[in-house]
Amino acid sequence: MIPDSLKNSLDGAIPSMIVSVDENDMPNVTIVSQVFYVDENHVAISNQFLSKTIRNLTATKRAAIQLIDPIEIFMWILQVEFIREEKEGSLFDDMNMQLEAIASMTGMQDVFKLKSAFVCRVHSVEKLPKA
Amino acid sequence: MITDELKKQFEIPGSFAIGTTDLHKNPRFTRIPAIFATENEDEIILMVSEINGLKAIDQLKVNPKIAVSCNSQLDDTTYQFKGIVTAVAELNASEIEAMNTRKSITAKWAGEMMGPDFGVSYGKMMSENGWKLNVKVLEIYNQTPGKMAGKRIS
Repeated sequence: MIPDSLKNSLDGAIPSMIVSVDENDMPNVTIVSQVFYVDENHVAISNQFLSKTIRNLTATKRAAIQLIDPIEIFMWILQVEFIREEKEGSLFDDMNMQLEAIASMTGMQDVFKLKSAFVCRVHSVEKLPKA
Repeated sequence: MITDELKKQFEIPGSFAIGTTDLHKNPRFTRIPAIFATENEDEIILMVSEINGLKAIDQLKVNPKIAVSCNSQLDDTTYQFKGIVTAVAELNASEIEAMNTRKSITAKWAGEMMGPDFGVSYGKMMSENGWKLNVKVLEIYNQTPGKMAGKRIS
């Protein structure tokens, strides 16, 4: 499901964005620092200060994630479904390590603290034109 | 509600996007080229390009609720506006010109920051058609990464 060519977009060089929906059909759009490759059918998003997104994902499960390829500058849109939250373990540790690297690159060491990893199943991948 | 400071945010190199959904809670992300203030302090106008906007327009016809992200490329200041789309219309010629003029501000900045190839590539994305959305703003949130992230400001 997740093509190899998408993995460039998961290194955190360019922040991603996520749209979620609440129970009253009101969307929420926000920046997400980290979208992490889990396996060919799953990604995990970092929960730092995503309180509304987290509430929406818990309630309605679905989200659209926008990724930008940092080299070719085209967009990917992933339609995903929330599966589970992880607050410890190897996935959490790997994400925490990458997030620290992203924070270091962006001068956000005091701001980026990983609370948990939200694992999502990828239902579709769409590649859009550049910019 | 929409202060002068917020209005300035629409006019600098920025990254603008909308979140929409149908009534089956299928969310959609759409990048948009421009946001404009109006004389009404609780209204903004969004311009949506025909290049990638059709699905969002279709969703807004069944569910007019919308979330709008406005990110400054200069300092990462980010706001989210939530509201209701009150009108959808196809852009006329002068509005398309205004949309592309606003888009060229970001393209110029992007070319300076990320190299001329990117600027040229971005410039080729100028639109020949699109839609104008009038949005009644109900809530505004600060989404700048840091301690203020998620705080409702209006």
